[in-house]
Amino acid sequence: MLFNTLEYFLFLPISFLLYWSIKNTTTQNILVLASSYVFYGWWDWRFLFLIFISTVVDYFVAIKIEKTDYKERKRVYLLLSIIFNLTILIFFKYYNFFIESWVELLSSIGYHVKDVWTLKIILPVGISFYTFQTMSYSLDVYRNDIKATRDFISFASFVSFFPQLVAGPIERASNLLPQMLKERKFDYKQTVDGLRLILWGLFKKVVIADSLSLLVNPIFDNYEILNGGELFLGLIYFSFQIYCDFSGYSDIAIGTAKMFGVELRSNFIFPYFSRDISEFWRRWHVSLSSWFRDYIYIPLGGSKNGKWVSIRNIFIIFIISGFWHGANFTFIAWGSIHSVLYLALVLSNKNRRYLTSIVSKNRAVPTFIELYQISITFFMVTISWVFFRSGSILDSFLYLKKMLLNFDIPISYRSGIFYVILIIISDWLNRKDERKPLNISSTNIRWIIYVLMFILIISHGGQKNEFIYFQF
Amino acid sequence: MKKLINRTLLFLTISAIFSLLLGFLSVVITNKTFNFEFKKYQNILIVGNSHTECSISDKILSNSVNISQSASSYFYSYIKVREFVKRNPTIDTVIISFSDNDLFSEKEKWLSSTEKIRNKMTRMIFLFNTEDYLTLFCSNPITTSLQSFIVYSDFYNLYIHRRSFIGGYNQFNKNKIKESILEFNQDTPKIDYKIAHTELKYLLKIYELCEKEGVHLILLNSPVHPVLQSHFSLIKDRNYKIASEKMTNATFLDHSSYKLDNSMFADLSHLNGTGSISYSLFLKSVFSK
Repeated sequence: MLFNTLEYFLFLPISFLLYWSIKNTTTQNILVLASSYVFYGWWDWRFLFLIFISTVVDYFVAIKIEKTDYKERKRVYLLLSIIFNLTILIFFKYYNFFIESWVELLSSIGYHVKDVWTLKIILPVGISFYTFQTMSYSLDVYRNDIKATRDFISFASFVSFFPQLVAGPIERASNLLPQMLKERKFDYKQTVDGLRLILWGLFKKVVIADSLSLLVNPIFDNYEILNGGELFLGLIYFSFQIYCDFSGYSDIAIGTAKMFGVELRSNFIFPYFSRDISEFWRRWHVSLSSWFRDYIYIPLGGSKNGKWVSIRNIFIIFIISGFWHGANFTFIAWGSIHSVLYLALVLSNKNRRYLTSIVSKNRAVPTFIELYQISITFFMVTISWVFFRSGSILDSFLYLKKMLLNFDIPISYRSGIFYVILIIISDWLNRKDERKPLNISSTNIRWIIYVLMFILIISHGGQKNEFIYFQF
Repeated sequence: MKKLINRTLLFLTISAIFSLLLGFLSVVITNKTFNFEFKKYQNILIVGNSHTECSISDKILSNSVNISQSASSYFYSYIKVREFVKRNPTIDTVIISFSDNDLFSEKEKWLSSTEKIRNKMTRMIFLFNTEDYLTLFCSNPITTSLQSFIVYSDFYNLYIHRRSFIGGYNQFNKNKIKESILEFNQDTPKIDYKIAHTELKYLLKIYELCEKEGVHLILLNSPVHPVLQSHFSLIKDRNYKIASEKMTNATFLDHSSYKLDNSMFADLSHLNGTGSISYSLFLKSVFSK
């Protein structure tokens, strides 16, 4: 089920009312579990068994890890969880990629394989998200960061919690599981905050991202015949399309969870206002980058074992991050570009300059230097998106070449500029708190804006475009 | 919880009222500003579905205006004929697509399916009268009701694209004839002997309207690929019979066997750009006689 459909518009209030009509936490969790399975099964019920098996394996593995006193055994159990989760991920997501790449490699050295055993595998929605979530649980138990739960229903609800099941934020057991175990009470303010986030998320997805996609798709499909200015616009549009698409999903997920009395982690904190690449990665898809930091980068030694180890680790996490997004060399190229940009900061010891505070927190407009930093960072990020969006690396280079060498004033596709300006202004005004959009003090003005946004969402809602991150 | 439910209902009610008002306003404005009028020398109106949409270039057949649109039920063609003939006394001929499969019973869905109503209703509603709305409502009450709240949603598109948003000549620049033949051989479509009664009803209404307005109706079976032509030959007589018995003064032009190279087809039942140019030139010569 997609968030931007009529089915969800009916599913959400029904689950919500049923949920709060129940006082008992266990029964509430059973309802969450049932709703989550309905939500997921709406797309393809056959893949429910994957979530279920993943849940069962990690539930028992974590208990075994906790029970045993021997470190070696703990490690074996942990490996079991990791191997299991990575196997299903690799099989469903990367199997054909590996086979096809292998065949291409062999044919490049003159050996042509005639019969190739590839499979027509459907990528189960959200598999990259929930496998990472369950793996992190076993890892946390192994590291004694959390206790293994004996409450299977709560654990299964944590794994399959429908707001964030298919596209994140990738939750940590330490944050979500305790919320599943404790009693939850209806809170009017929390629910209204949630509804506001849902409205804002839907607006970003349905009105902005989907409208931009109508321009981005023909530009990328016909880049050979367009001028450089139009290609430049296409690239800018894609930057905002992917941002509004994915952050819109996260907002809806966080908002929906709030309606059920659950607080999820923030996933996007105004990434396009970052002053350098390292700040960008602290603000873009935070739940994934922090996952890589905590479970790969730091265990590999992080930055504490000398510069070369640090460089190696940065390369590793960015390339894995690229590969996580999809089975294509374009994603690896995208990850590699970011690793180079990030390394430049690490080597000059400038990667920790902007750790928490948003740009111009106490000013209405940025300084000239801040504006310059934001623009440069945005430009670098945007250039890297070419590799993310194009079908092949060759296409990416040809796109960039055409854009730079045939630059001219764009004569078509200019209508998207309106959406870009709209999102920049609204994000700028809202930049102090990503969890409180549309925070306008006047009730009347606020309601007028709500109604207008709702009307725009409904009128744009006929296309039912999938969220970009569903494919990952 | 009670407060939340009350506030939510209030919000939805305000939004619904505002949407309906906005929809009403957009219909009135579109109706007032839409360019219905043809040039004086344009005396042929072309309506129908993708068959006429892709096969007749109104730039070549310059005394015509093509406002056909893919997947258009005869219901929408009827509305177009009614509104354009009313506003353009110069129209003396209406060409409508009447392909071999246009009355297949599956075409009933072209009026009532959710997908089609979503696609057509908001772009055409400014031409509706009450009866049209009720017809659509009776065919699919839920979707029609829901769409009624977003009538305004195509206002911008109608403003930008104007007449082409409700139909126009579509020059396909593709040729997928090989794939289409392969697909046809793998999964040959069945001949449907059942008739789409609603479609026939509106086709007859178009005929009656043309008769009343003194406009000549041409039922056009546009060119199709020989593979499809022989496949549909079983049903051709039925359509001819309907035309000759129920629309006696209409002309049935069967150009389904008009010879074109494989390169001139987009697929088995549609012409591509080169095909449509060739056919439009032929049609022009037919009309000039």
